[in-house]
Amino acid sequence: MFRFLIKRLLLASTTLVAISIVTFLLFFAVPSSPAWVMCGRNCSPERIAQVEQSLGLDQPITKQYTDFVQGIFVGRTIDDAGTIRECEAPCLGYSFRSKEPVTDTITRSLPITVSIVGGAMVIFLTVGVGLGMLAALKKGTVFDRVAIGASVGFASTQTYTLGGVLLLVLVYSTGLLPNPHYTPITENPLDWASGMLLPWITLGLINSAMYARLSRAQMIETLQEDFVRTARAKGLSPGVVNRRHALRAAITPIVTIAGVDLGAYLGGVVITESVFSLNGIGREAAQAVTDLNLPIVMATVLLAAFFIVTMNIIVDMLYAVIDPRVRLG
Amino acid sequence: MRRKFGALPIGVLTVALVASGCSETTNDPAGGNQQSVVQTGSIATDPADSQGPAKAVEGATKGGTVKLLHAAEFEHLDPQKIYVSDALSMATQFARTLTGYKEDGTGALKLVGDLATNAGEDVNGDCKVWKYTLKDGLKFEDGTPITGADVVYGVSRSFDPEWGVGPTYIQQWLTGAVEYNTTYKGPFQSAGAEVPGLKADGNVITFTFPQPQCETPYAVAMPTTAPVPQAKDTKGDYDRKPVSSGPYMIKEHAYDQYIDFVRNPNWDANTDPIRNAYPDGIRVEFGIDAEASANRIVANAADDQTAFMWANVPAAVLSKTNTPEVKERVKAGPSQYVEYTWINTDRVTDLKVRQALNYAVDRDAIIKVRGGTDQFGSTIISPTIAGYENFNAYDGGPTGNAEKAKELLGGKTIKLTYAFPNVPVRQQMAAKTKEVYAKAGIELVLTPLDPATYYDSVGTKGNQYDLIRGGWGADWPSASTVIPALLDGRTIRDKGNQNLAYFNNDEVNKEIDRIKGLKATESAAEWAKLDKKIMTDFAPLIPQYYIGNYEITGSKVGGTFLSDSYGHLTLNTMFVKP
Amino acid sequence: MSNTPAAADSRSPSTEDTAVAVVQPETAAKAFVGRSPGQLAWIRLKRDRTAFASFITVVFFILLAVLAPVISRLYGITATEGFSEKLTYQGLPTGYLGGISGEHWLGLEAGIGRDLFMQLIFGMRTSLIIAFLSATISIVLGVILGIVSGYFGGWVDQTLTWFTDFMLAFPFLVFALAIIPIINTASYDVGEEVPGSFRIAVIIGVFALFGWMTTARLVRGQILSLREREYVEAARAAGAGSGHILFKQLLPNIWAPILVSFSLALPGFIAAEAALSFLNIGVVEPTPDLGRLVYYGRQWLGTPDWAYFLIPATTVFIAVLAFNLLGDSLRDALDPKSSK
Repeated sequence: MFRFLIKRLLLASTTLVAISIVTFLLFFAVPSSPAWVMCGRNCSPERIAQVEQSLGLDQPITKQYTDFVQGIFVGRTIDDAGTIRECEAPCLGYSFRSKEPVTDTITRSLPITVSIVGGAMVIFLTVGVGLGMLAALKKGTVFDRVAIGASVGFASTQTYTLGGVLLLVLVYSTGLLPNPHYTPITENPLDWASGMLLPWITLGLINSAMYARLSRAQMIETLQEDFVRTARAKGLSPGVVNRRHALRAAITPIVTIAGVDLGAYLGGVVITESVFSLNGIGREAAQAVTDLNLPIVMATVLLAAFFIVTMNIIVDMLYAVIDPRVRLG
Repeated sequence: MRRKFGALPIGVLTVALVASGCSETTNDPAGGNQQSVVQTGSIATDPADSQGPAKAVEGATKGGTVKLLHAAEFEHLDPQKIYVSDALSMATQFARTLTGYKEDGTGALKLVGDLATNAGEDVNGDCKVWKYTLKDGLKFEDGTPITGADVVYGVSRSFDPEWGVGPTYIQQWLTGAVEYNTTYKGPFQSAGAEVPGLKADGNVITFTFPQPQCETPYAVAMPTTAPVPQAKDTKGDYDRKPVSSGPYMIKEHAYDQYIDFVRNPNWDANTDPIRNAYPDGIRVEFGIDAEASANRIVANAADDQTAFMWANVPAAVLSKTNTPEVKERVKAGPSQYVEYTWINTDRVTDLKVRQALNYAVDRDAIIKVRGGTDQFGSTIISPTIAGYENFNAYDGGPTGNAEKAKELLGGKTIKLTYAFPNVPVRQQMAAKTKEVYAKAGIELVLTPLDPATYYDSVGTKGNQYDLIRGGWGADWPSASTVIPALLDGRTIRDKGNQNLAYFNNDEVNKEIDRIKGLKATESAAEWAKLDKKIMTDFAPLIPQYYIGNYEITGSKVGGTFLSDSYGHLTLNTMFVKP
Repeated sequence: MSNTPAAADSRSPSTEDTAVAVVQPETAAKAFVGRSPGQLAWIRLKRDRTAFASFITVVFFILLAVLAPVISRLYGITATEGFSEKLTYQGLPTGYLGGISGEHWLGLEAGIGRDLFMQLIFGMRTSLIIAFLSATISIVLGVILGIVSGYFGGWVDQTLTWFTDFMLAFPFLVFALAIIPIINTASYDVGEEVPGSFRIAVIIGVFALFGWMTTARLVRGQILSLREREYVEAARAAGAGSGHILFKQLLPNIWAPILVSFSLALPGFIAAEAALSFLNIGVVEPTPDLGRLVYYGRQWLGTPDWAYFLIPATTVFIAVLAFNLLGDSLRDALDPKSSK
């Protein structure tokens, strides 16, 4: 177990390094310089050169990259258009647009994304998986057909259409739900929840559909497995068999997928955030790409990758815990 | 000044799926081409006009918080960097300037002294030396008195070569040069040096210009002259939290999320002839695009009843504003902005082609893409500018005259590149423009450009674009901020051009110089004549439409109207209805 | 290193929202006695009414897309033709239901005033081309990399597995936002029009680049379990080369899950392509595009022109649904354990 963990962590860090390098290189391929965006329309070539210099863009690319890495681990000093700034570790750079360390931007927008994803996750893990499991147990009944029909339907819609229709019907036309907005949970938990309700429902419904289909398939497959048959043959009640044996086996792959999804979503749900006008990390990233705001792009890409990689490791470990058949080695 | 592109609507939907079923939509002939009110901009001569407090608004009450729903962060809050209409409108509440506009919503725009006791004193009567005296009792948010030195320091910052994003009138006038910061480079790079031509003596500030600048009272109304306390200047960071001299100051600024403005306890209403400052606070929420904002405000839920927006209600939401209850909350009117298609005269050298392009344009179709709050425009200056005269040198009717264009082209078919910022509404308009010109045998090659660097790309001399989308709004109601800024060929540089036609004609340049020397009262009609001459003889651009404003407020917002100075709902007189 | 469970990534490339599961039938390739699995599957598929209906729908859409130019000629209106004179100044089509009439069967686009029917079928053409090519390329890439990784094992496998993880860790949309404009502007000179076809090719390329990982993992898992089988050993003992074993012995045994992956990847790409329009990096005017049509249309929801949203959105919904159902049925049919 320990050896496995070390090995996975090492591999994961190489992935993160590679991603940071690729992202870095990518932005050097951009034909227009961030200095243009910063300096504005009255900018002469000399001024662009000055701005580039102060941004460190005139340095060789390797130097810029090592500066960036150094910032993450030990912090660094940034010369921002003549202002010297101390950026403490973990320093992800300095955002020229918002005039603040990138970590500030992240700490402001990440809670929004976490709120959206967390709530939606609860919905699709309970509603989705629950429905799927039930449908599997009642396979072939009307309930099964309706549940599975609805889930194929929802799985075929997209956040921007479903979200749009829900906004129109539930918010603008009838006022049944409040406008999506973000209030920190520490400030007012009730307002936090009410502001997040619509994104939760939208993202939750679409993903519930997917999870329902998935868990139904898994459960049906598990119910046909030998160990379930053995348990039944032993004379255990169907309830006990379903709960103790089948459910546990069927849930394993779902946990895996849920973990990977969580990792992917925490990096930003751009479309959901945009549809509901919430400036989470996904939208920050999208905005940064448009502005050529490299420090933010680097940070958001790395963070997203970090979540995915970490969740992968956690999922693998969980896998061993849930499924006694898996031995890590 | 420029306007936002109508920010990327990473956007949202709309109202009343249910309400709208199967009624017939009929054509509304009154649509696009209403005649607009012409502004009556004037400079106050009576010093009493410049004295506070501002005249009370009928029925107004103090208290409450108004809420601005806004698509994206203000590009700048540093007064010396602000130059976009939304931030200019916001700045009126935290960055007072030497002069300011007093308005009552009827189109009467009066320039009065704001920080200064009057709109400006032309010392020798030749428009070269201007004297401003600050009022007594002016204070920054921290309680330190505002002195002449603070104003001079503010202006000095605008010289910084690394900024170059704000208006440049004062700097160019003071140095008498287009490249104003070759010697004096602002307080950071030329520390200790004096700003050329600008002096403060206690509360008295004197501008000495090498050439006559008769429109100085207007120019100093721009936030270039907002005072900045040197001791608290955080340079780049000042953009996040400027020190307030107005009725509101920033309490919290969560970038890209919101700004909370609260009352500035050190602002004295008795010094302020312009602002009533009724609400206790102003909250700006970012990330809500025009579509979402408009839908929310139309829906008027409890939370949004004190909300308003500083963008036009987008085309898709317009039809939801037709009910009387909603219509009442709409503020519509003309703006100083005109939309152009520039013709790069370096590349399209044949006058006949440029005239054909003007004849063939189908303004009717183009306006409909944007939802018809704009008006047909065929002049360079907008109807809100003193002296405006309506004419169309190439009248092809509202839908254009493709036949006439073909005739001018003499049967040739030509191919032109068309540059525009790659945002959805511009894409649609470009597609429409392509379709329209195809009828006249002109093929457009569409080249959408990165919106973030759009003006860098098209503002570079020698670029590859034949037609360039652009727009311009006067900085004050005089054509002197339009024609010289856009069409004076001597201002053409390698990069960062405003003259996107790259049009340079000696005759026109001379005429510009001549009119600039005239007093404001005489120059207005002369500018209009020059406008007509440029269009008739040279056709370096295709005026498309005069941008109309169409903004909306929640039901509890009172007292506001579209400001003629910056084109958005004014905060000066806004109040929350009880 | 332990093998990551094959089902670990259910996601087609794309967005958080295109939730289209590619559930892997791990057991699909187990052999049956009597009829070949292929025959069995075909028999099951023919009996499945849902599958039949979805198949017909899919064929119908493909036909509409392929025949779009012919239909346009018969209909008498092109995709780029505008009818602004039939719009009000608020941009709404005059008449009923968004301007539906004998001349404009599905009405007009609000604002820009083009014929919605023509936009729809030409847009479908773009969307289907993108979806089919992206799915094909990414599946082919995935199969090749998966086979190579699973068959050769050792450092090849380790490297490729690492690379797969690496690609999976990239936030797709942010990457797409960054790279699509870069490629478009870098490939053509300033002032030169970037042709619509090139923009589409770039989108396909980006999709393929981010779409192969699921298939690669799946195929690798399958190969790992198959390569030690007796018949493969037998072939090896008989002196068959790697190529023969890979393509004659292994590949035929894993085509079923690959086919399922393919059919389920298609709706994912259709939805993802629409999401790109939402972020303004999709297909640009004047190339018609279904995703963009939905994006524009949704803004007009709640106005008298409801058709502008409902018609394209329903079309996308039906297309995605049909592909999903077809993929599901295919999977059921190919799964020997399925009791359907």
